[in-house]
Amino acid sequence: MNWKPDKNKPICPQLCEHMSVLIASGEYNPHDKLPSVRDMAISAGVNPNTVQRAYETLEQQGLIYTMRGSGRFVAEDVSVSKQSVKTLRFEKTEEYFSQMEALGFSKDDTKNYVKEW
Amino acid sequence: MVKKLFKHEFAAMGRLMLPVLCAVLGVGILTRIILFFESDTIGFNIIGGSSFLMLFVVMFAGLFLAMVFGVIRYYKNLFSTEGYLSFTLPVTPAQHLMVKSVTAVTFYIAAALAALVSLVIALSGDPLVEGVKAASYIWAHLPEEINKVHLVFFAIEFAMSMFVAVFSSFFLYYTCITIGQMAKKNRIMMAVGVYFIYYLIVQVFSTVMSVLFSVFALTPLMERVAEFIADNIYLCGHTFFIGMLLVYILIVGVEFLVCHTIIRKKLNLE
Amino acid sequence: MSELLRCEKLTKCYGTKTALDEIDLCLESGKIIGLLGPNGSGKTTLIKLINGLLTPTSGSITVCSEKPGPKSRVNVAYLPDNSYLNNWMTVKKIVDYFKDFYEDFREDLAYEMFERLGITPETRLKSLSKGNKEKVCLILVMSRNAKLYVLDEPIAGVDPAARDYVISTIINNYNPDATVLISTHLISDIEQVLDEVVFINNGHIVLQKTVDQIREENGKSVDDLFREVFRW
Repeated sequence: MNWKPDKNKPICPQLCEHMSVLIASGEYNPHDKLPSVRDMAISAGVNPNTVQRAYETLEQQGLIYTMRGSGRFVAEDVSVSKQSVKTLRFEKTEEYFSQMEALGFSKDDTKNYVKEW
Repeated sequence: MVKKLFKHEFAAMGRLMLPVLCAVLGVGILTRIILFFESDTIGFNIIGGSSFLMLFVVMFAGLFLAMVFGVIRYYKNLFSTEGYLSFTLPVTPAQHLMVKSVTAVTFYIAAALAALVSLVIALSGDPLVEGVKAASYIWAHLPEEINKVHLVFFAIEFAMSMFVAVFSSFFLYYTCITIGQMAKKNRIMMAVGVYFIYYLIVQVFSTVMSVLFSVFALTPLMERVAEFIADNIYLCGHTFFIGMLLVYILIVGVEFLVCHTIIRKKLNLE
Repeated sequence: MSELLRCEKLTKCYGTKTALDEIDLCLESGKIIGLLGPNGSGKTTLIKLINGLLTPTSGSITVCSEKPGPKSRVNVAYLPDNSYLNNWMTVKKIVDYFKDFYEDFREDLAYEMFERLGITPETRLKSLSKGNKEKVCLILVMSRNAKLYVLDEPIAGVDPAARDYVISTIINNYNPDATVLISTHLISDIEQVLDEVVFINNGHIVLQKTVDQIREENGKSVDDLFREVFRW
């Protein structure tokens, strides 16, 4: 998995975020079976307990559901994930703009630059 | 658990000792074959003589190697990096000591038996028959006064002491190694040092005892003691041999206790 | 969730030097825990005490409710930081050795992991490269179905690809009834896999928290916090 989490932030929320993105972007479609806790832990290179907590959080958020004995699946209604992707977009854009400001470019400069990109 | 320890210990020691035992027996057979072609020419006598010499060398080498391999195995399996595996097995230190010493002694006795069998093979045929005849003649014609039953018992007691003595030899080296491993550096040198100190103490003790005895021998009491021994030779003989047995058992006990305590309290793996 | 290790005022002195000073520590099952500290902090002493290779000067230590000894060793799988392998043995012989002494040893799992490395049962241990020898030791330990795994520097002196192998093996073997205690000073490689970390310095436990707690409270990785805490 090509996930490179930020070392300075707690892992579990970042994993939830990443899964949200995967669901929102269509990598995982509704009713797709998710990897087992163990497989996910190995592919992400994280502790199985972290994956367990992430899955539980995603379930609380309504993004996934558990079928006893079969595993975890992506929920039908993934609008929540789309919402969190939108939040992510906002955060990343805000971050980008403040980085550009730190380099000395005004907001308008940056907007024009992006337009021409 | 002990059974499994024995299984692995025998496998490890056997791997080293089996070739040695085969070599000892082999040289015996070889000597016998050489003697088969014996004639009275000088050439053959030299060859015959040398092969006997080689046989004696190999016999003693077998015993020597049995001791060396047993001691090295103790160090390597318990106090080198292998110790990290050995001492984290679900096994007590007492079990380790017991299994190692019993296995080492077993192979030592095997080496002794191999040497004996080898000698018998080398001498088989006429020399052996002659030798056995001579020995039985002497035994049958011993002076009347000598009580053969006691002699047999002396031999048994002596054999038992020697058996325990082998244990105490191994345990002596074990103890030196175990004390030596407590050192931070140069653990083997420390073990050798401990051995020298032990040797020194034994020498000093024997010298002192000899001096005391020589002084004692000059006293009038000595005559009465000599008379007593002469009158009660069998009693004194048994006391002596059984005493020797008990002393060896005591020595082994002390050495075992020292090793056991150090391993339990002061294990120092690198 | 059970308690696998409990140390109460555990102290170990070597002559005048105090290696561990009244340590209080409690490790629960189902976790992967990092024991982090500079050289000479007391990590190795603690590990040896857990394995019964040393006896405490004072205080108590219980491992899976037993004092360290033959009974507790049945439940502990220890990977020391140097190879304990007997060079003349073959892979099959060392597997048999483990099978004989440890009832919980999973032979099939071990051979499966060996096969993935291209190591056959007849391979002589002395013919293996240093890296492979270390992997063999790791496989032997992880093939045990123990309650407490104690890994002393499993990734030091090992190339990055092998480190990934070690980490995947540890994750793969995860068992909610067991705990893996990893002692290391290579924190950044292993941080993500840890549930909890215990910082130890000069024989004292400085900190015991979850990784996420540390990252949240300090806004930095455990590795960075470590460098800060143990700055010279």
